[in-house]
Amino acid sequence: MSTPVLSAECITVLARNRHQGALTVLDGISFTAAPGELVMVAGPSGSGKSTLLRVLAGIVSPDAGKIQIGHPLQALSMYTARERARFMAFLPQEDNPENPFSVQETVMLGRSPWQPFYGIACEQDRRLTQQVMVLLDVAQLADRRVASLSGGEKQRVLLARALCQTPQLLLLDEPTSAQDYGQQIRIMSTLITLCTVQRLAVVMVTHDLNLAAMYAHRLLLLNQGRAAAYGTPREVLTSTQLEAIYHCSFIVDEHPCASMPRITLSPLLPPSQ
Amino acid sequence: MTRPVFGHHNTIVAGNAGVVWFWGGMALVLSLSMALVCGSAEISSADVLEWLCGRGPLHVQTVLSEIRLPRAVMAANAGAALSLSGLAMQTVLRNPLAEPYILGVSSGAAVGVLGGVLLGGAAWSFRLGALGGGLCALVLVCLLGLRRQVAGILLSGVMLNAFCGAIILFLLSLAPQADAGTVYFWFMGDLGSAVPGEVWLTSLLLLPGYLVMLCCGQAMNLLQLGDETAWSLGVPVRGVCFGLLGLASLMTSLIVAMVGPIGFVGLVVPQALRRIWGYDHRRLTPGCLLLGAAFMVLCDTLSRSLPTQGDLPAGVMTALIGAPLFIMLLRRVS
Repeated sequence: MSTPVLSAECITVLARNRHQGALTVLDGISFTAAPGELVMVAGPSGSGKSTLLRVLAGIVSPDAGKIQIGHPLQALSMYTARERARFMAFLPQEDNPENPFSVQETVMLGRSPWQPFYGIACEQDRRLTQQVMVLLDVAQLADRRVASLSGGEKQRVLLARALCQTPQLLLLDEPTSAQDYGQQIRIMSTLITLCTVQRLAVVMVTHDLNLAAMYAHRLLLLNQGRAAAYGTPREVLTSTQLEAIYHCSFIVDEHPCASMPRITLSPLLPPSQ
Repeated sequence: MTRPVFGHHNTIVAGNAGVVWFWGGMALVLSLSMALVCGSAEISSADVLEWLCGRGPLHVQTVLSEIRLPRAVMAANAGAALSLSGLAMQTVLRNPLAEPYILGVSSGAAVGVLGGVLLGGAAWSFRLGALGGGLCALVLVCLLGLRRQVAGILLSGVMLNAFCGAIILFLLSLAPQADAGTVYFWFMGDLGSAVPGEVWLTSLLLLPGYLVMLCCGQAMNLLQLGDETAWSLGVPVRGVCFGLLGLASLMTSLIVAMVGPIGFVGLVVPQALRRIWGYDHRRLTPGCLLLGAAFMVLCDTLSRSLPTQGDLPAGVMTALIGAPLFIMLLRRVS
């Protein structure tokens, strides 16, 4: 295992509420991501997945804990905004819904951390933008306005923008939630290829446990702000583990054509605890 | 691929920043030369050319360099500064109705002017009062909106405007008739009141502001994508937003102190240019600078040329010309 490019130690985030006092959103989360590694974060709604990603992106500052990125590892707060943007891209769950730009303009804005601050595009920027748009199947939408696209198309455009940033660390918040099955598989294999070939490190939040079983190198399962399990998908995805977290019945067996666990939902509710 | 980098899906005129600089520059030069030729004293374009070469009769030279040029330059500065401020406010607050006075700058300045007139009444106490009032409003709104919630900032601005409006009416009811007249006159916007020295000083002070705004084009583009996205694309969002709001308020305060509150320009010029040149702020910043200036100079020249009784307030012509033009543009684009 190569040295990590992201290390989170004991991340704790509190939400202060006037009525209930301090509420623990994240409680001592630690994990690392190395180049070429795809780490997925799963868990029920409200378990702190998105907050964790926003802490890693530097948008939310944690109440305790240490985040280091880069090679060699360096505290996140040591980076200037531009240095950080060159190393790490973050795809939030939602963008400004009134994005006035076209698809091509939006994807090109991903190059801005590399351009002189006034934003002058060079030939290489244009080539890269075009390549990434083809890769994510949005090249035919180049001149459409982003605001006029469907949810899935928009999501792929935003992912294209994040890839255009050519980061070494990519933080994705549910990048496949609005995609059909074919696009999900295409996006995930693109990401895996980038991990293997470009040694990209990816941290990705998802609700789809089967996608995690298929692609994740390591899986972090969150429950109520705590790390319920952390390891390979085979270690983490067990029916007892999942039933304890999601409060419904799962059948976990071996996938018939690949060496990985398969998770099937069952309509039966588990016996009440 | 020969496709342009920036598509022009929803715009009338295509073009890059160079096109904007060219047409904007042409418009500004044209409007400035109109401003020099037109006026009550008979001065022909030949006279203006002679004056440019440093020759010509003395009285013509005096009229041009002591009256017409300073007034035109003041108008150009007002147009440019208010348009750029409007652009910045609309971008940062992500609200198409935001304008330079929304944060209470003009009403704060008006209270300052009234205070200056009631207390002392020296010529400069006006300007100092306006500047002080505008800056106080800026600080107050920044403190109120420190958490940068757009609705919070807008609402505090509206509340501050209402509060200051009440204070103005109250103070006016106490003021003697003559003082009230002076204040009313300032209130309507007067481009001719600044003496040449003040005009050059204002231009000098505004110049760095223009340069900063011009450099912020790409940052404003990124801010349109949402705060978190802008942050992840390397924009220090908080700093840029407060910087732009502060700079816009400073520039507006200065303009209000020199010529009074001229409405409408800051709202309509950026909006009109968005409809002509699209949403790329690398084109919009030079566009607002040059065409905002040209528009204001043109409006002022027209209002001086009209056979009115006394001076027409500067804001009258901007709205008279700007509003119908803008509505036409809105119809054509949609």
